[in-house]
Amino acid sequence: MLGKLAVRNVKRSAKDYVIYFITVVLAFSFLFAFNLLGSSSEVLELSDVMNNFAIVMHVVNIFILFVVCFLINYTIKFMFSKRSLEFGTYLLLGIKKKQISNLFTLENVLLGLLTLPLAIFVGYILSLLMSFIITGLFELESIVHITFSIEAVLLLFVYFAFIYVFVLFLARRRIRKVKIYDLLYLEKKNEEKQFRKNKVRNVSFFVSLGLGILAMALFFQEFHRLGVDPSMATVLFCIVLIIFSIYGVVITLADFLLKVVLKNKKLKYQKDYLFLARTFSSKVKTMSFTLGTISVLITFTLIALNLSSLFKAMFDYQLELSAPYDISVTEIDENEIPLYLDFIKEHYTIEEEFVYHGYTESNRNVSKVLGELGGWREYDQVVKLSDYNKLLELKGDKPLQLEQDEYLIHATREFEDILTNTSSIQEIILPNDEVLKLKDVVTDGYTYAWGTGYGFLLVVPDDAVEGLAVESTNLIVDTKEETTEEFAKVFERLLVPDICEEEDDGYTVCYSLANVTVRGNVEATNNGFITIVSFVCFYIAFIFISVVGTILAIQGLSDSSKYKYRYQVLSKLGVKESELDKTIFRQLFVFFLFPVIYPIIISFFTVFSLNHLFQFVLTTDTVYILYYFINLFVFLLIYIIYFLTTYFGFKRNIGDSQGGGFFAR
Amino acid sequence: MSVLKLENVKKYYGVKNNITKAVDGISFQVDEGEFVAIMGASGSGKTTLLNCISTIDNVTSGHIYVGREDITEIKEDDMADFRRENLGFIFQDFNLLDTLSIEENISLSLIINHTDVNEMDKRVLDIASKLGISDVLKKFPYEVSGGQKQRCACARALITHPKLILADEPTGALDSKSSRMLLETMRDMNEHLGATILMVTHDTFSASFCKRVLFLKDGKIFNEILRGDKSRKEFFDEIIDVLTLLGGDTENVR
Ligand SMILES: Nc1ncnc2c1ncn2[C@@H]1O[C@H](COP(=O)(O)OP(=O)(O)O)[C@@H](O)[C@H]1O
Ligand SMILES: [Mg+2]
Repeated sequence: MLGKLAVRNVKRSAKDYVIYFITVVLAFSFLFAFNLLGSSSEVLELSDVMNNFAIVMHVVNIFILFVVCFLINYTIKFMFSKRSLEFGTYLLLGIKKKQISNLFTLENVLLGLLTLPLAIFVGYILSLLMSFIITGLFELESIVHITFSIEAVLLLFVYFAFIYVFVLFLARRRIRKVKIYDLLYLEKKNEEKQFRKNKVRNVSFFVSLGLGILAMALFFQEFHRLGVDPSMATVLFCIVLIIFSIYGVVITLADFLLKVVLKNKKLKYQKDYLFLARTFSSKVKTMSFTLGTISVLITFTLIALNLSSLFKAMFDYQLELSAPYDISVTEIDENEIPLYLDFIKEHYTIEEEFVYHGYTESNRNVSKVLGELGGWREYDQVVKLSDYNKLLELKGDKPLQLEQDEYLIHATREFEDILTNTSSIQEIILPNDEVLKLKDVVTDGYTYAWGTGYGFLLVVPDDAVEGLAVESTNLIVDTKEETTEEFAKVFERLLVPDICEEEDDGYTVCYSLANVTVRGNVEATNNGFITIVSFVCFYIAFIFISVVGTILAIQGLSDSSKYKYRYQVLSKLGVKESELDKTIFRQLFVFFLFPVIYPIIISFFTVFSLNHLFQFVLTTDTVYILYYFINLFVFLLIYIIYFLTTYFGFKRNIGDSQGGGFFAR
Repeated sequence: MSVLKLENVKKYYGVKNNITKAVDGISFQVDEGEFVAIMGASGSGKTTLLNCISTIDNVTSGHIYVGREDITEIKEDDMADFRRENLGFIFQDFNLLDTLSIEENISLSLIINHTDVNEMDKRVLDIASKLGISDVLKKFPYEVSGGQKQRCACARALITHPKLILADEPTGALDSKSSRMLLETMRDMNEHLGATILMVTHDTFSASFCKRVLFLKDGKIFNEILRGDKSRKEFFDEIIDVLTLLGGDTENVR
C-alpha cells in the first residue's frame, strides 16, 4: 500500500514540479556531459592545455554538485511543507513517523530515479553538441568523437547517490524532529514578521547598502592601480562583503518599498500598486533568505558570463599580439636561415618569406621616458619604414608614409598615455645625428613578434638607419597551410643553443638567443584556455540560472492555488479577464524582477573594476560595456523563459475549474 | 467504566509575562457510550483541549487517561500505535487524502494494521452502507460533495472501532442540510454502533444532538447539563439559557 501511495504521489508531484524535474534532469545531463568530455581521450589530445580540462571539470562538477544539492534540498523541503497537512493526517491515523519517512524517501528516490535515464540520454546528446563546438573552436577538419563511457555513467551514479543520500538524510531528520501539532497547525510558521521595528529595518537596509558600496570601492581601488597585482585577501574580503550586502539589501528592501508605497497616498491608490506591494512584501518575508541566495547566485552568474567574454576577447587579442604571422623567428643567426627554411619546406608550402633587421638606438630616447614601466633596456629598437610596411602588409594592415624628418612609435596600449603626453620625444636625435620629429604614436595592431620583450618600436625613414648598428636579424614566414602545435615542438628543437649555464644542482641548461613563434602553437594553447574558461563559465552560469529560475517558478506557482479563490471572487465581481491577466503578470513580474536588480548593479561595477585588469589586452578599453550587455541579454533570455513558464502555468492553474487546481490529482 | 478521564489539565501558551491560559485546570470524565459536546465562545480553549486529548499537543500539567492508559506519559514512538488503536478523528475540513479513493481513505488505517483483505472489504462495505456512501466508494474526494466527504471521514474514524471518537467542529464547513445529516449520522453511530463521541462545537444546534454538554469559558468548565429524557427542542432551549448566562458573543463563528 505504501508503495502504491508513493507511486501515486510521485505521479501527482511529477505534474506539479515539471519545472523542477526538467532542471534536475538538465543539471544531471550537464554533469554527465562534462564527465564524458573529461574522459574522452580525443578531447584531451587536442592540446596540451586540454589536460587541465578534465581536472578543472571535475572540480567545477563538485561545485555544481553542491548547488544542485541546494536546489533538490530546497524543493524537497518545499514539497514537504506543502504536504504538511497530509503528513499530519497520516500521523493522526496512526501511521508511524518511520513509515511516513520511508514513504517520503521512496517517493523522492522514485522521482530521482526517473531523472537518471533521461539525464544520461540528454547528457549524451549535449556532449555531442559540445564536441561540435570544440571542433569549431579548434578549426578541426573532422568532428571530435565522444565515446559513451561506462565510467562517466558510474560517476554520475556516484554524484546522484551522494546528493540523494545527503538530502534525504536531512529530510528524514526533519521528519523525525517535527511535531504533529506543527504539521497540522503551523503551516505558515515562517511567515513571522522579521523586523518588529521599522527603525531596525531601515538601519539594516542602509548598512547593507553601505557595505555594498564599500566593497565596490575597495574592489575598484584594488584593480585600478596600474602594475600592482591585486591582493587576493582584499578580493576575498570584498566578495564576503558583497554577499552580506546582497542578503541584507534583499531581505530589507521589499519591506522598505512597501512602506514607501504606503506612505505615498498618490502611489498607494494608483492602479493595483497596493495589492501588488502587499502580496509581494508578504511573499518576500516568507522566503527572504532564499531570495538572498538567489540574488547571490545571479550575481555570480553575471560575473561568470562576463569573465568568460573578457577571457575570450583577451585570448583573441593575445593571438594577434603575439603571433600574427604563421612562423616568426627573432634574433636569428643569419647563417642558419636556409636551414630553417629547408625544415619548414619539409612540412609546409612557403607563400612568402621575409628577413629584416632591427637597428640599435643607443640614446634610448623612448626607454628613458618609460623608465620603470618599460623595464631596463640597453637600446631602443628601430626598423626601416620599408621593412615596417612589409611587416604591416604581411599582417594584412595598410602601409604608412613618413616624411624624411619624421619618425613613428608603434607601441602597446599600456604606453599610449605616457608617450603621447611626453614632450621630450617630440623631437629626437639618433646616435648617427639624424634629427627626427614624432609623427604619431600608434598602438593598434602592435605585436610582440616584432621583437620580444620590447613593447614598442621606432619606425624611421629608410635613409635614417645609416650608421646605426644592426641589432638583430629576424625571419618571418607565411605558409599556405595552417601551422600546428606538433610542428612547433619539433621546430623549436632545431634551434642551436647559444648560451649554456651551469645550474646550482650541477645540470647544464642551454638557451638559444633566437625566439620562435608558431601561430598554430599559440592558437592551440589559446583555444584550450578559451574552451576551458568559456565552458566552465557558461556551465556555471547556466546551472545557476536554472536553479534560480526553478526556485522562483516553484514559489510563484505554489501561490496560484492560494490566489485561485481570490481571483474567482474578483472575476465574479466583474473584473475583466484581461485585467486579471495583467495583475497576475505584474505580480509575477515584480517577483522575478526583484532578485535581479541589485545583482545587475553589483555585477556591472565588478566588471567595471575588473576591466582595469583586462583593458590593455582588449581591443578597446570600453568594449567590456558591450560584452556586459550581451551577457545580460543572454542571462535574461533564459530567465525570461522561466518567467513565462511560470506565468502561463499560473494562469492555467487559476483557470483550472476542476478540484483543487494546482494540487489536484 | 470511563473511556476518558481528565485530571486538572492545564495548557499554557507563551512565556513569562505574556502567558495565555488556554486550558486552565479542567477535570471531567466521559463514560463508554456517551455523546458529549464541549461548547464555548471563540478563544475559550475548545480546540486546545481537544488537541491535548488527541495527543496532537502536550499538556502543561495534569493527566489524561484514555481507558487505563495515561496519554501524557506515552512515549513519542508508541504514540502512533496508541492513536490508531484507541482514537478516531473527524475534522472540520475533512482531512481526506486526495490521492486516494473514498474507499482507500476509509480503509487506510486497516491497511496499516495489515488487516485481512476480505475482512477489510466487509468492514468498509458495512460501514459505508450504514453511513449511506456505498455508491461513492470508488470516487475520489474532489468528485463528491462536502457532506459525503464528511461522512467518509466518519467512516474512517469508525472503522477501527476506536474507544473514543474526537470531532472538532465537524459541521463547520457544511451547509445546514448536510450538517443535519451528519449530526444524525453521528447520533446513530453513538446509539446503534456504540461509539463514544466527544465533539467540540460553538453551535447550539449541533450540541443539541448530544446527551451531555460541557460549557467552557476562559479555559475553565463553567457549567454542565444533561439531556436526560428531554426532547431535543427542550434541550436546545436549555442550552440557549446557559449560553445567555455565560454571556458574551456566543453566536460568533469560532
Ligand atoms: N499555539 C498557540 N500559541 C499561543 N496561543 C494560543 C495558541 N493556540 C491557541 N492559543 C490561544 O489559546 C486560547 C484558546 O484558543 P483555542 O483553543 O483555539 O480556542 P477555541 O478553539 O475555543 O476557539 C486563545 O486565546 C488563543 O489565542
Ligand atoms: Mg477552535
